[in-house]
Amino acid sequence: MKSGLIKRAVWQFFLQFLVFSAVVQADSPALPFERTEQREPCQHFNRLKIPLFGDTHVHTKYSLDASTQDTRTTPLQAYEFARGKRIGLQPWTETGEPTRSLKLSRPLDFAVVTDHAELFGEVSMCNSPGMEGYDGWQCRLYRRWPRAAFFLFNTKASSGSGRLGFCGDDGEVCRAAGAGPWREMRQAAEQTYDRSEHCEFTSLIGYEWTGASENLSNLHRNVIFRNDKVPAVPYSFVDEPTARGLWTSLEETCLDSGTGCDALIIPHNSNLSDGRMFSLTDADGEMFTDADLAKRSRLERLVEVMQHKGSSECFYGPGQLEDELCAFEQLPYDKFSGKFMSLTRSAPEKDDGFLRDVLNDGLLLERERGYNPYQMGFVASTDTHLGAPGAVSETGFPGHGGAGDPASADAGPSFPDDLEFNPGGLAVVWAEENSRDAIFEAMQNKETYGTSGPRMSVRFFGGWDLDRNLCEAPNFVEQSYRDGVPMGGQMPARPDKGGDPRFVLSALMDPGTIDTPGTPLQRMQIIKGWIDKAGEKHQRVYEVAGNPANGASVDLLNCKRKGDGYQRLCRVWSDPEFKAGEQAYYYARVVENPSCRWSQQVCVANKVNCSNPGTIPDGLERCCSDEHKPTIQERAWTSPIWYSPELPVGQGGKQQAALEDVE
Amino acid sequence: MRFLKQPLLHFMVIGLLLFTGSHYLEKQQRETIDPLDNETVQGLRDDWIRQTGRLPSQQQLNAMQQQELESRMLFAEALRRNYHRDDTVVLQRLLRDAEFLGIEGSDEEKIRAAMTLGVHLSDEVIKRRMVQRVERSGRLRYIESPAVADLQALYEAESQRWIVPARYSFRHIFYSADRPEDPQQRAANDLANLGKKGAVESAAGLGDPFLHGQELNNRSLQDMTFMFGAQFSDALQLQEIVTQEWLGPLPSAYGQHLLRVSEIYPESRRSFAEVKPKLEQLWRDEQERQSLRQYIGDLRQRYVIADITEDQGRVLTQ
Repeated sequence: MKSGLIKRAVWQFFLQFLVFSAVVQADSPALPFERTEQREPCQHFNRLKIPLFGDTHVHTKYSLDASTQDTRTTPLQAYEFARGKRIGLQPWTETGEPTRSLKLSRPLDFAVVTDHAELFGEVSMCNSPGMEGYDGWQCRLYRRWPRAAFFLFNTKASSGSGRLGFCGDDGEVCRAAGAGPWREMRQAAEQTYDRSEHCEFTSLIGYEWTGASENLSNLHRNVIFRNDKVPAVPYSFVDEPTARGLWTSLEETCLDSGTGCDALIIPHNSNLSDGRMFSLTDADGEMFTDADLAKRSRLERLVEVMQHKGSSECFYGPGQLEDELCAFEQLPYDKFSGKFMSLTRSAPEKDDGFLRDVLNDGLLLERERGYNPYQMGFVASTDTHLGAPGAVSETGFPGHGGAGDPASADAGPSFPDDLEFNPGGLAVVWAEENSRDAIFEAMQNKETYGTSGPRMSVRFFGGWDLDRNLCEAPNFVEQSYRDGVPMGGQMPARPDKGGDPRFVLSALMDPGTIDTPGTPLQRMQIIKGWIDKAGEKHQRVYEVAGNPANGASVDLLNCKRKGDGYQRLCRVWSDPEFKAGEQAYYYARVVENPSCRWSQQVCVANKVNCSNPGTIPDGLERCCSDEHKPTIQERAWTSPIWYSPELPVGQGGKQQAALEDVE
Repeated sequence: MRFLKQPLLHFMVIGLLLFTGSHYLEKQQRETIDPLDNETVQGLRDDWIRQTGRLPSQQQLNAMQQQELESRMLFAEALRRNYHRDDTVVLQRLLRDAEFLGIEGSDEEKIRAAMTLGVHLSDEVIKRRMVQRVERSGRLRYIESPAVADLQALYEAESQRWIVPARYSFRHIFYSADRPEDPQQRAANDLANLGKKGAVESAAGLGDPFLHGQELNNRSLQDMTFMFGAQFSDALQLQEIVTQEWLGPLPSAYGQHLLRVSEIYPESRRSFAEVKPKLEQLWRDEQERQSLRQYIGDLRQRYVIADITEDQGRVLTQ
C-alpha cells in the first residue's frame, strides 16, 4: 500500500516534471519577446519576423457618432469582420435586416476596436449635416460659439474635485456607467483571439481618448493594451481633459500597477490639430514638464500617419514644387470644426503638426533637453465608423460611416462620402508570430509601417557595417538584423573608424487578389530630416530606387492602369550628405504606380467624361471640379531610423541619468 | 375599533389605493406615439439616398418610418422607466447641458432645472443612451441557457466555421521576373541540375533573394495567396506534393519558384470543447436578437403607434 503511494508520488513528480519541462521547452528557447499571457506558442513562429496586417482604429455602435449614423456593428462583429466574416450595413429594414453588406477580400491578421471612451461623439455629430442631432440647439450653439461649446462639452465642473461633483468624490459613479460597454469590448476581444497554436487572428483591447483643445483642434489618441490585464474602466477625456492626465492615469492604473497591464498610445490626425497635438502646452494651457514628456515618450510609441481623415505625413502648399507626393490625401482645413464653421476655417500650414516636421521638432528637443519625446514609429489605419476594420479598398468604398453629403432633393448618383475623405490605411507590424505579446512588442519597438491600403511588404534597416551587396544576399534579412537596426530603431553608436550610415530598403508589391491584382511599384524614396549646427530644421527626399518618370498613368474613362512598374525593388543606400555632428532621422516611402481614387471610380461607374459636359449627371458635378483628384499613388511609410551623435535616453546614452533624475 | 380610526391607517390605505390605482391606470393607458412630421420623413429619405445612392421605394420609406417610430416608442418606454433620473451618463450629460445654459446651484438643482426645461427630451446623446438601455433590457428579457444538445446541433450546423485548413512548411528558391533572363527557364534548368531529390545544401546559392526569406513554416494556401499571389497557391493546389522533394516551377506575382515541402499538416476541425465558448456566444446572440424582437412586440401592445401616412411618403417620392 505504502509502496503504491510512493510509486504514485514518484510518477506524479515525473509527469509534472515532464509537463513543466515541455512548457519551458515550448516557451523558453529564448523567446525574443516576453510572454505575459496563457496561450499556445504559434506553429508559424519565425525569428526573422513576418509582416502582420491590421487596423488599430475601429469604431462600432458604442461610439455614439457611429451609432447616430445607424451603425449597428458590435465589437464582436467588428473583430469577426476583420477575420473575414460579412457584416450588414445601414440602411436597415423594418425587421432589422441590412440593405447593404461588406466583406473583406483578405482578412486581417489583427485588429483593435477603439470606441470613444466618452461613449458619445457629439463633436462629429454636430459637424455632420444630416446626422441626427445636427439641428439640435446644442449643435447650433456649438457651431456658432465653439469656444463656449468647449465648456459645454469638455470642461471640468465647478465642484473643484477635478471631475463632475455629481460623479462622487473619486468619480467612480460616472466611470461605472461606462463599464458595461467596456466589458463587452473586452469579451469580444477574448472571443475572437486565437489562443491556439494556429494563431490565425489577434484582437487587442483598446479605446479612443477623444481629447480636444480649447479651439477645438484634434488631440485624439488611441490607447492599446498588451493583454487582457486592463484597467476596470477606460480613462476618458471626461475624466481628465489633458494629455498629461491620460499619461499619468495610464501609468498609475496600468503600467505601474503591478497587475501585468501594459499599454501604448497612438495619437492620430495631427493634421487636424492646428499644431497642438505636438506642442509643448497641454489642453489646459499648462506647459509640459520634463517628467510629463518622459511619460509621453514612454507611452506614445507610434503615430497614425494616415487614415480616413487624411494624411499627416507632410505639408503641401499651393505652388510647392518639391515633393508633390505630400499633396496625397491632404485635407483642405487644419481643424475638423473648420469643415463646417467658416469662422474657424483655415487652410493647413506647414507647422500644423505634419509628422515630418514633428520628428524634426523631436530632434530639436533632444538637442535642448537631452531626450526626444517625439520618437514615434508609423502606422496607418481606417478610423472606420462602420465597425469595418481593414475596409480600405478604393473600389466600392461605402463611406466612412454613411456620413456623406445630404442628398439633393432630386436623387441621382452621388458620392458615398465627402470628397476630401478616403477609405484609410493599414497598420503593419513585423512580428515573430501572430500573438498579442509579439505584436505589442513590435509596436513598442516601432518595427512597423503604415500603408494607404495596399499590402506591400517593406523591409528597412540602417547600420554602419551593412554589406553593399545586401540586395543580392539570400540571407539579407538575417545579415541586416545582425549588422544593423530595423525600422523604428536608433542607430548604434558610430564606430571609432567613422563612416557614413548605410541603409537597405527592400519592397515587394502587393500581390493583390484574384479579382484585383496589385498595382506595381513605381519608386522608393528615403526621406531625411535633420538639424544643422545652427539649430535649423531641414528635410530632403532622396530617390533611391525605381523610376519616378516611368510614364505610368491611368485611363480616366475606365480606371485601367497603363505602363510598367516594378514587382520588387531593393537598394543599399548611403547618405551622401551625412554629418556626424548633426542629429537626423530617415524613413522610407514606397510608392505605387498611379491608380484610380475611390471618387473617380464612382465617376467612372456613372460614365462621367469630363470632356463631354452632357455626361455629367447632377450630383456628380464635382467629378470634374478642380478640387477633385481623380488618381492617387498608394504608398507605404516606414517607421524612421534615428541617428544622434550622442545616444539618447533608453539607448544606453549618457542622458539616461538625467531623465532618471527627473522621474 | 380604535385601530380603524387611526389617521396613520387611513393614510396608508389611501396611499395603497392611489398606488395600485395609478399602476393599473398606467397599465391600461396606451400611450400614443405621434406620426412623423414632413421634415423628419424628408431627413430619413435623405439619409437613405446618401447611404445607398438610390431613391427609396415607397415600401422602403415606410419601413424607415416604422423604424423611426419604433425608436421613439423605445424612448418613451425609457422615459416611463425613469431612466433619465437614474442613468449616470444621462445625468452627467444633463449637468453639462445645465452648466452650458448658465444654470446656477448645486448639481441636483442644475439637473432638475435642465429637466424642467425638457433638455432630456431634445438631447440626442441622452435619447440614444436611453434607447440603448431599453434595448439592452429587451435583449435580456427572454433568454434561455442552452442545453449541451443545442450547442452540439449548432456545432454541426456551423461546421465550416471550425475548419483549420491544411498547412505546409516549405523551402523555396525564387527567380525574379525583373531580371533579363526568363525566370521560368532559370528555374527549370536549376531543377534539372538539382534533381527532385536534391539536398537542401545543394540548392544554397541558387535563385534570387526573397524579402520573406526562403524558409516558411506552417502556412496555409490562403497565407500563400496573400504572400505570393493567387497564381502561386492555385498552381500548388494542382501539384502532387511529395515531401522532401523539389517541385515547380510555380508562378507568383514576383516571378517563379521551386518548392520543397518538408511537412504537411492536414486539414482538421477544432473540437467541440475548444469552440464551446464561441458556440455559447452564438447561441446567446441569437437568443438576444429574438428576445428583443419579442419585447418590441410586447411594447407595441402598450403603445399606439400612428399609422404611416402613405400620402406623406408619396408626396416625397415624387
